[in-house]
Amino acid sequence: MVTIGRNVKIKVARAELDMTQKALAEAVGISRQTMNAIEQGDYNPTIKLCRAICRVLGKTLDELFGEEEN
Amino acid sequence: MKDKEAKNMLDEMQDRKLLKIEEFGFWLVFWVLFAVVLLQTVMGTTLKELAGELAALAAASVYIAFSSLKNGLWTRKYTPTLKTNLLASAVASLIFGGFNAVRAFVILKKPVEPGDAVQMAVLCVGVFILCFALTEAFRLIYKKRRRKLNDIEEEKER
Repeated sequence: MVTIGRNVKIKVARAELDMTQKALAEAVGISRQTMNAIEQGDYNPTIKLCRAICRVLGKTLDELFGEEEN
Repeated sequence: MKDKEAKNMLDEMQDRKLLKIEEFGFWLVFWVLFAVVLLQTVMGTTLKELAGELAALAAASVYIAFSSLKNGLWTRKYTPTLKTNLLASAVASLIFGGFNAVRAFVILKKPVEPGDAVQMAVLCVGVFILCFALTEAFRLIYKKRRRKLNDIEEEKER
């Protein structure tokens, strides 16, 4: 099983738009449980869902889901 | 029909979790049923009395086997080879033989007769041949199907 780290970038992008986790979940058509799991890195979303999140937050895939450069 | 078209109320993570629960449930029922059939057979239940359980097991097995082959899938851990098929068939025939010996001589207390060993051996060889023929047929179908599916994927790629 692939483990993924916490996704802080979604949380930051959400905060920039003053959007709650619940509001973002509703906007992309998923449960808050799933949105929370994505942010916590407990669930690896499909590319379709990633794109939906990017669309709502006005970010690119790379900005939200791209690998961190050290 | 209306149910089929009904909107899925679950999101992708919930759907995946439900699939895992359903998968676990299926295998739980399958193996419990398998154990029940074995136990009842050992205790002397006739095949006629076990018809319902055997039909359910057969239906599940046939579905799993044919759906996997149709989609070009084998197992997660093993690749289909002549060697693994030989080994699996040998294990199956030994388990079958051992099971029958316990049932006949320990549970049903059948007196041991001179021809019993030969009869058991013939039975084991029969099971081995049947299992091997079946797994080899599945292996050939799997390879053919895998090739066909890969060809389609290549065509789509163009």
